[in-house]
Amino acid sequence: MRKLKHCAVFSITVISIAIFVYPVYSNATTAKSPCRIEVSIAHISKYIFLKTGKQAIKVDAFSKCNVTQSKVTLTVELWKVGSFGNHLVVLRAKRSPGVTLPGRQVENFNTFVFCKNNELTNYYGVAYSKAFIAGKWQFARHVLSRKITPLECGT
Amino acid sequence: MDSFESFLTPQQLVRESEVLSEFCRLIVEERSRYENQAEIFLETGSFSRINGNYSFKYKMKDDRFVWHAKPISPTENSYSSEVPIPEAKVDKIETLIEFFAQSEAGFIN
Repeated sequence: MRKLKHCAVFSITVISIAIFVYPVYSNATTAKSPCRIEVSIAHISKYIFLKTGKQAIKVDAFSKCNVTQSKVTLTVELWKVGSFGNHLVVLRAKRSPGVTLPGRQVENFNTFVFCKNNELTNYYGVAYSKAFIAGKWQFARHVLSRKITPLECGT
Repeated sequence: MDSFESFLTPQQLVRESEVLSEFCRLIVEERSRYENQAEIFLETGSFSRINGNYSFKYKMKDDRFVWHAKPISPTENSYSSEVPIPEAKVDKIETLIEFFAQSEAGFIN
């Protein structure tokens, strides 16, 4: 019975994520994006705990392109896994107004929330971006943390 | 240090701790101001404030609280954040207090 329940929760999680990460493109073309996004796993920073005495859950992301881009927006979302669907915890977007040269990172390291209790919860991060490249708006697809992390952090 | 490879440089980790420490300070020392702001915000549906080099606009969009931080200088980065709106009023106030403190705590660049 317990195995069945775990299986059901896992299935809902996988289906929810599969629906969520369906690729998004700026236009009808499916050309390979010139940009790459990396998202950290959701984590509780020991460094922050040592400094503040409080636990905060955080997810970081950066994007890097091999072409010149401008007006870059990098959005990072922190999600928690629920029995009946996943829930957005916080979204943070950073907009860089100028030109970003090829190979330079655009970073969004501002997505965090403090824990309210020690309840074990599964978290993951999602990041996506848009930028003006070669006269067109380009939208990078949603990228997820490489794993869902169970953390003793209720939010 | 965390048990995974962080994207942040040592200098950014220091800045991260400064921002989070400032958040912790604001949420205690500015709590009364944030409670007043939250009441105004919930009554009117929006709230604006200038803090340092940024002007902040808070509003409700669908089922989320949203803030936008726009820099005075057009060459600086701008930021925004969204969180789900809780159902109970007491939870809305608490969420807004954290929301105001987060927006004013600064940014990790």
